[in-house]
Amino acid sequence: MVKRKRIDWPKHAFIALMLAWAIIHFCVFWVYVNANSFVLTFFKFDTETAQYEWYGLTRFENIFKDMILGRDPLVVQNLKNSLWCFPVQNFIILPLSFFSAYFLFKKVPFSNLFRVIFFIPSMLSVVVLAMSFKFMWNADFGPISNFLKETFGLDVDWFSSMSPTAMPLVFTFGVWAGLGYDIVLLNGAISRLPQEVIEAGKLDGVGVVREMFQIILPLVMPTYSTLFIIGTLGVFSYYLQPMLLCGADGGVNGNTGTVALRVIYMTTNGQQEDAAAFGLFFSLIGIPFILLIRWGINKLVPDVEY
Amino acid sequence: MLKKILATMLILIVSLSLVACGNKNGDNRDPEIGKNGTLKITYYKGGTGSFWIEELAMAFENETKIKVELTDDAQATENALTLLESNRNLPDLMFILYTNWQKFVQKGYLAPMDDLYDGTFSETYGDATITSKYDVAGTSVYAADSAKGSTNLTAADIFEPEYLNYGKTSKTATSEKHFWVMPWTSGTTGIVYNVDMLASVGYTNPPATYAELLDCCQKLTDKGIAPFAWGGEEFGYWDFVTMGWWAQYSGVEKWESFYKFENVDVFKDPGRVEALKAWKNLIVSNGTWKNSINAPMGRDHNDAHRVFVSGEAAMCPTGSWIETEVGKFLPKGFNMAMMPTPAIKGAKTDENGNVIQVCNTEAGDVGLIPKNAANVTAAKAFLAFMNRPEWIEKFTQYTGMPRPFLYQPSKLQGLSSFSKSCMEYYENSEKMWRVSDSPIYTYAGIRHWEPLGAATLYGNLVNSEPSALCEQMYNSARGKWDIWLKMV
Repeated sequence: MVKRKRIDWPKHAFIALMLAWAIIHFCVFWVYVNANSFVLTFFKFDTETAQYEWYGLTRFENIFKDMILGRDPLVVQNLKNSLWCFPVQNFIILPLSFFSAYFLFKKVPFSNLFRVIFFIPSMLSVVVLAMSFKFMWNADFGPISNFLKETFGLDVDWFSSMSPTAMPLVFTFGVWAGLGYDIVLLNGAISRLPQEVIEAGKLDGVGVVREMFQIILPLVMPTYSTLFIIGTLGVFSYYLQPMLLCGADGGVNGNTGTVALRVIYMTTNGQQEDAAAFGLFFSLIGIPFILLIRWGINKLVPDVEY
Repeated sequence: MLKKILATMLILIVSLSLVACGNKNGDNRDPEIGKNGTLKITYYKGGTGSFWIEELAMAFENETKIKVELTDDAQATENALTLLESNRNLPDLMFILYTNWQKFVQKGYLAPMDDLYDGTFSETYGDATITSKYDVAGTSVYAADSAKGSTNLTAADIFEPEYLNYGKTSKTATSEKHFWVMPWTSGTTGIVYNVDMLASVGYTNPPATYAELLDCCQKLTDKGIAPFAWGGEEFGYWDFVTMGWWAQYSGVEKWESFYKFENVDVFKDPGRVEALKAWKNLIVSNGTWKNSINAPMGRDHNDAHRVFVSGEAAMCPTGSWIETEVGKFLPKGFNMAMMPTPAIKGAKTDENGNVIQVCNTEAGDVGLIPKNAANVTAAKAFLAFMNRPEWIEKFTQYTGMPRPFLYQPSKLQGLSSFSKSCMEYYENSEKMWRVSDSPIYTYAGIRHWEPLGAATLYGNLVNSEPSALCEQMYNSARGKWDIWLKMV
């Protein structure tokens, strides 16, 4: 006779209670809030009857034609700018954060000073940070702008949406402002590594580069891959930096706009249903993209236990 | 020791917080205020500041004993639809900027306010009665010809006739039209100039014609002064000037008819091309900017204002709100004025051959009452109170902005020389009003530079011809006309 396994009710209740807050939060602030927007993307408001009428997939069709088939070059440019966030976030900010976290861990000279320099942008309001960054490049009194003008004769309208410098500077700002968050997490992960492994490496005569890439990096890979996924998630929600540095309308020919900034622009201009359709369209594109990235990372990154 | 320091700091913070939370009117406040209820008002705090509504609220409180709670919100316009849709924590009255409020009506979010226009609103609070009937005696407010001589005037009698129906629309195509909003500002937009700088190059009076404007710019440039301060992050500020040129060339009536969207040919109005040609000729030269400050594209309108008031440029495309917006940063003795938009070649003339001076009001800011507000009557009483002739005048005195009523704002006491110049321009011009209940405009949100938008249009004028861009906009509108019709 097979003995039935007893259900551990207190344990299950504890788990359920711990998960309840997150689930309720998700249901109320995501499902409930977005359900109406989701439904409205398939309807239009008929101004003759003041009633919602079935509109089908027309909005999605228009977005597809505008963006994917290139009917609206402004929207296409917005998409290109958003997609640039992927390499910037994952192949510039993340590796830089790893190097910084590693050198902070190694307690290089002035590491406490560097720690403050890296963390201050994460502690300050992004609005204040953007303003100070923009002032540095101001054509009238910006120290960097003046230095470049006087030293190299570069008289550039740095944040002009007609200048090729605008978006690279927006991303540069993103790197400066975004390093701190990743460094905190990676530094925490590195600090928790078993000292014996690092000591063993030292005894074997492992150098700094080898230690960094062949010991530390594989051991913090779970944190690194999580940050990679978080960075990817930000691709279609990147708007604050270009908005604060180059204006809210996306600039000339959409040169300084992104997909998320466009959604905000549409919402503030009273085109809520179109904005909702836009958001949903990119969720539909974004979810498989994220899942694919996660699947790839899970395949490539081995599980680490210590 | 550390604990003592921390404790002292904590006590200080708590004490300061309590002081900050205290009522600024303190003990001087009439204890009766609040006995007739509370009125919650959310308002946009920007170029008009807060002083006008604080003063108005205080006077209203003293007369009606209704307590007024004011909330300023820089995002009041953007948040309006979400707030109305949520139907929670609604203010009783909202003062917001230009938006397609007609949508709010169609969705049933607003309370009608016909009684505020036709004189039938009347509410008594103790000894005081607030009505929507007005006596203009002793003020510069006057009645339209149809109501001349009456001492019992309605708001409609003293409103700018051309703009009266801005707040009127119907919920559905077949339902009756009602008034739903009350315009709380009008505007005066165009070119603001540094009086002393222009005088230094011989323009003691501002340029009256486009040719004179070009000549003035040349003289300023020769003297090492940048003619215009502007910001490419807010290209829409140039619309204040180009719209004026468009209306000069086509006539105000034709310009206004654009917004009716009767057919796609409104996009073919030649005034559009002429206005953009004038702008390009003024600001663009050989694929770059001229007559402009250094690096204008990477600036917003605030930075352009800063450059202008710090004396680094002679002119700036903006509106009458600049003085309040710049506020305490305005240097002492800074002498600025607004010029009537210089007349372009081909501008319409009157029967005497004089160019018809037009003023782009950019009006459209509205006060509205949510249908489900807790105190709709008090909100109406506030608007009725605000429309009293003396308060129409005070609004202008406090903000430097006109309201769309029949009055002589330039004659008011206490105006700054800048405000006076704006009011003279406003008063002596044919005013441009955007009044339309075309669903393409109000619901689909189609605007004058569709589909490019101001930034892309002006930016592309650097390398493209105005006629080509206007043709592009027309062709796009023709291609999308059916889509727009289906959208509504």
